[in-house]
Amino acid sequence: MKWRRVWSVIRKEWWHITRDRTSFILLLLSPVLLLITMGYAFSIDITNVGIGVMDQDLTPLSRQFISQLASTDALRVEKWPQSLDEVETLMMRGQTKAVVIIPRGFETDLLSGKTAALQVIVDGTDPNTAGHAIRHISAHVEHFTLEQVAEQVARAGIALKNLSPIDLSLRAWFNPQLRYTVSLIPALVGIVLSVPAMAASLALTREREWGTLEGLIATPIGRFELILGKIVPYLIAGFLSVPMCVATAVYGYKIPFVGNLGLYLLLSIVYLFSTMSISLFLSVFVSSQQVAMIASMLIFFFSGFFMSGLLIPFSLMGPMIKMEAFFFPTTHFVIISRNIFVKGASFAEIQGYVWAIVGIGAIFFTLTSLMFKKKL
Amino acid sequence: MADEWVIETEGLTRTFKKVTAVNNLTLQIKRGEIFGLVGPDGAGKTTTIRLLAAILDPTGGSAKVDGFDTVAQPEPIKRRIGYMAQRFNLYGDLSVWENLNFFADVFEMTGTERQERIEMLLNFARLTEFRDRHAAHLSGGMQKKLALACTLIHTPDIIYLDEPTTGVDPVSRREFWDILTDLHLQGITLVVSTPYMDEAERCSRVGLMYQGGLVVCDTPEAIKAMTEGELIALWPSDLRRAHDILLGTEGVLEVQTYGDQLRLFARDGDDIMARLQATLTEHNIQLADARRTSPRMEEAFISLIRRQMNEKP
Ligand SMILES: Nc1ncnc2c1ncn2[C@@H]1O[C@H](COP(=O)(O)OP(=O)(O)OP(=O)(O)O)[C@@H](O)[C@H]1O
Ligand SMILES: [Mg+2]
Repeated sequence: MKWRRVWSVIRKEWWHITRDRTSFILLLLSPVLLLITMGYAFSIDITNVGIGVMDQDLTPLSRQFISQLASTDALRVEKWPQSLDEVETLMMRGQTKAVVIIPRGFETDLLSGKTAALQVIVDGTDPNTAGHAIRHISAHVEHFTLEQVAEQVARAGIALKNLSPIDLSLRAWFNPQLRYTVSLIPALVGIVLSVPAMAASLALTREREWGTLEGLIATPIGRFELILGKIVPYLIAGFLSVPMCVATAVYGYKIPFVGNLGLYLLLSIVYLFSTMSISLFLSVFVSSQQVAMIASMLIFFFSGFFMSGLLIPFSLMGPMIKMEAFFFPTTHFVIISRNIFVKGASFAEIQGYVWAIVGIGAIFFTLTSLMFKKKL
Repeated sequence: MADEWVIETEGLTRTFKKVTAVNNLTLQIKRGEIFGLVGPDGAGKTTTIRLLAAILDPTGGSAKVDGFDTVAQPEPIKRRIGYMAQRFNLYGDLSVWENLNFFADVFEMTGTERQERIEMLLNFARLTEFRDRHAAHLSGGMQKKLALACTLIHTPDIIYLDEPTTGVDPVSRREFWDILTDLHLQGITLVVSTPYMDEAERCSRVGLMYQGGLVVCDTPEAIKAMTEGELIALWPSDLRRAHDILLGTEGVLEVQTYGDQLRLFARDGDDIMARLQATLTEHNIQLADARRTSPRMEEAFISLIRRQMNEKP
């Protein structure tokens, strides 16, 4: 292991990356651009969902319920169907994603202490929006019921202490407004930070295409020296994107950064190393830059979106997928990212995930330097 | 004396999926000689050099370079050789200076020795004034010289050059060979593949490859002497017809076409010279000139390859 050689490869590789200005700027900015566009795409319909309300009760209490429901910016009442037929038409045409039906007797039941019925119909073909509507409507129902019951009961002159004590506080920890973006954006940061790794998959294939690898393998350069020298410049370039992504999350998406920034930056290097080891491993076996790029894109985006728990919760994954997901560093870093960002987790609380990333990186880096042969 | 041979191969064979690029090649190269590998396109020159550079493993046979086996001990070989591939293989987005320095680092050159060596090579390759130019922006000839300079950075004992002058103008080609002759005089072993016969003539020994095998391997003089018959150069008015007519003439062994002339091997030169004029006039072909000449490498090779082709169709 000659450090001079490693350094020399690092410098040369850095020149390759930076001398083509346009692609270098693109490399630095692509994670941020992706974060902005995907963050926007995933969260666009989630606030201010238009819903319909069919009020069959038409009492002061039902009207109060409706006006409070529409008072948050999460939901907006924009349709007032009068019959179930009309509800069906609205849903069929996709003109509304959810309808709340307040049946006759809502007020009476509620005030007499009986269980009041309330029906919510959602468009199951759009689970994201529907889920959002359900979450907010049920949160509102709970809030409303407790408030009303307490008030009415008090008015009826019954001492509160006679009621069975109910925990009145419904609080979502870490994310009081239950904003979807608070969990989404830190996870997306994890995914977009795998983009620099896609560029790293070009490190070996580019030389193969140029024909320069043929000259290089005829020299005494060590495999480990070469692979290490190739990964470091991409680590540096990838690392430059991290503060940009964090800043976009904090200032652009208003996500509070609660945790330790230093720890986050440090772990992002470990994560970059791990993803880049995978793409270098890949580039040992492919001969063209295009194939390398497409293959690494498939791997990182697929694992990022479908295995990291971003779109599909872990609890819904089969055991096989869970096993596979474990081998992708993105899975672990998405969790780390959320925990540091939103919960302010310390190293001790997330170290299991960190060691997983370190392990994956070490395995693939070693495999790469072993599998890379100085032969044509 | 056994260690006179710096490169020895024994039944060296390399088969790709369908083609056998190098077929049962047994070859010895002497320390300090310029060894020329010549042969038509696809003869297996590049594959042979790659096998000798230990960057490709043979599928059969073995090769030893400076006593090291190319399969078992590739690393000691790589410290001793310089390899200049057929394809331009320097970093186009790095300057001349940066390319040289990169390879100096790879070979662990340090201190003043390194500085002197780089300056010397720049000077030697006549690239001093282009040191800050990106390699991609050099002319073809300059690129070849830079590639040679990078190959020489660690003062290798053995240099492999795969078609170093292809695509280079005649003046640069001459300069390039002057440089190679210098290296030869320093005692370095050179293995050069070339499609140019005038270059083959400058080698100590030449191996002619055809379809992966070695047809002949000898000094240029000996190879030229292998041609059968005496050579006549002639300038007839209708080249193609004259070629066919003469080929069917009694006593003619072989006819080759070169631009506007024919080159004819005759069993008896005087006899053919005497009959030539009459034979061609009979077919309404004018003859501008005809003279006896001695065979060059070119005629010798074409002749040898034709013979080879006829032997195993
Ligand atoms: N990597 C490879 N895969 C498959 N076939 C190959 C490979 N390399 C060479 N060949 C085949 O082996 C044969 C010899 O090729 P080689 O490049 O050694 O010839 P060459 O004498 O250098 O030719 P040229 O003068 O065109 O450079 C050719 O038929 C070629 O197609
Ligand atoms: Mg070749």
